[in-house]
Amino acid sequence: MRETSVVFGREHSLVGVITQPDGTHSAQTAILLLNAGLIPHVGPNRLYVRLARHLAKAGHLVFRFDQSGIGDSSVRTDNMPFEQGVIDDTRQAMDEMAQSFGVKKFIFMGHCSGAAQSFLMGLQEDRVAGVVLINPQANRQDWQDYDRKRKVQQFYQNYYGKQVVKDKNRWLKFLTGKADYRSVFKNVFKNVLWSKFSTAVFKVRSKIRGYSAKPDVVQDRVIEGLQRLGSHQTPILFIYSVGNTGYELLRAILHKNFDTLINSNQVRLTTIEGADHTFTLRNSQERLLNIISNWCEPLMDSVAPLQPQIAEKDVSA
Amino acid sequence: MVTNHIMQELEPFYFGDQNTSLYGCFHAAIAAQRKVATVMCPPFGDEAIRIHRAYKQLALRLSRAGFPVMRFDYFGWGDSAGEDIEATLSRWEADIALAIEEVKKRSSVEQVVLLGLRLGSTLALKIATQRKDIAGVVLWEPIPSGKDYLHEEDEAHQGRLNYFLTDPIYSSGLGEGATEILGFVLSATLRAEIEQLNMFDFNYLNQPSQALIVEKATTEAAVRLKDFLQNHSFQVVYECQDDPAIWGEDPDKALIPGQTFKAVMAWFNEKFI
Repeated sequence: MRETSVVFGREHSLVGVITQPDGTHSAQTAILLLNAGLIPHVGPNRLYVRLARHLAKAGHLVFRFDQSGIGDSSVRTDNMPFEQGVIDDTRQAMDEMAQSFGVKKFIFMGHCSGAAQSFLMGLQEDRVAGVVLINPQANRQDWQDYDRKRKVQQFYQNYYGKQVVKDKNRWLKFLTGKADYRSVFKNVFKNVLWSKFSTAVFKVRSKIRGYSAKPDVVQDRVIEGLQRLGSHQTPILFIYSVGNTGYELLRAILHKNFDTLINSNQVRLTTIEGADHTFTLRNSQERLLNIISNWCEPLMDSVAPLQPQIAEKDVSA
Repeated sequence: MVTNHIMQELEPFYFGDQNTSLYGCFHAAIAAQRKVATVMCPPFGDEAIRIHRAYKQLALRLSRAGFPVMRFDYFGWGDSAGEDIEATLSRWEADIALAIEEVKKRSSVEQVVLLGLRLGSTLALKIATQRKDIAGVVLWEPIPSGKDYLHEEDEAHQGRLNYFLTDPIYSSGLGEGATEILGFVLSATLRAEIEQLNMFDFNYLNQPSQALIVEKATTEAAVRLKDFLQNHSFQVVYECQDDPAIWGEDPDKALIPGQTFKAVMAWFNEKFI
């Protein structure tokens, strides 16, 4: 496996790292990792580095890069809106891989907002070989509040239920009038019990009426997008941590269309137990790498020795 | 490893031994070059990802003021080769030394300022006391005691686990004595090495003359450190700037500690004309 840093793009303003299997290769298909929010190309918890190396060891070519204004890449100097900018940056990365390695098809892969961008690229690009969406999240306020409330509720439940309850000193403080009772009361009643009730109501409501009672742009876009990817037979992998409300969001967005769209041949949906949004624990990281690697395997053409005209371009050590 | 092209504001590259190579970004001086270059020592693990934007922005400001800057990732971290479990503190100290040589070579300067945030400041000071080519150190939110730091990180890790909506599932094969902290694995060796780190115990052989301590809120430990360094012939400037604690903030907030940057830039401009 070999890693090479590259500066690329029309303005030489984008930065990325190509991870390739041992030896010099060309490839028909490559994997592109798209930024998770504003996190640089190492990914959350360095996940993109581990993922790229894991995939390269399995024989695949991977490019993880920073979009304009993120990580080591420079900011855009034009007035292109954000979404168009993502598409433009990603196309520049694709062109770089096409030029350097003869790549013709791409798997777009990303975590969180990188998942949403991978979905977008899948819809925009003819050169798509597959799309991997890792923990896509909502950007609508009510869903963000729901996610936050559930996590805060869980935090205090674990804190009081598993840590404080076993702590003799805290019990002593509590029983001798030295505890901050107001804070304990607020946490238990507001952040645990009330949150539990309000999130349960939200959950039931979203199960009944779906993402929105009225027609919704995001909902329409996701449903139409999945239908379009389906009609093009584009393979899609959804991965959700169980400790994440993204899966519930997907169910709400697709609502009555869930079974039809998700149970189609080209879609695979998998969940990872005991994991949080960013795959903090090594166990969840390992499982994620294996799921992705196994899913990619049949979609990837084997790498081949470099063509002479490509070998002239110096991208390696 | 080499890059295809060189962009104006920074040059990313791999350096060091091919199998254990480190990822670095060199920011050449854009204004008339000063006599010292800067090596920015990153903090540990999760914090290194959170501060990336701020480090890059500070590097850009320094390079525009004429100071060549080198940012880099330690072995086993960031874009550098290796896995976190393979990392050791002695290796990271060697990495800083390698980055110093690299920036000196690239900018043709003889003297270097080491800048470190959190655990990066601890390592920066340790290296600074051992070399003759360090003109100054910037200790940003310094961590005087590795033991206290690990305690703080363990608590933060436990705090994050409490947010899991289902019971966490742990790995059984991390390696003997290895532990997890906020997305990364620490070997027993690295943990023991960090535990022993103490700024007051370093062997102050070749201390640089200049030091800047900058922190968000005045701590007893930093004040003690300031007095300690002054007693060891450092000219210490102490700054307290109430900026966001970027090392613990959500990277999506894209926060930049503007007041801290101003203090750092003012110190550089005053001390290294």
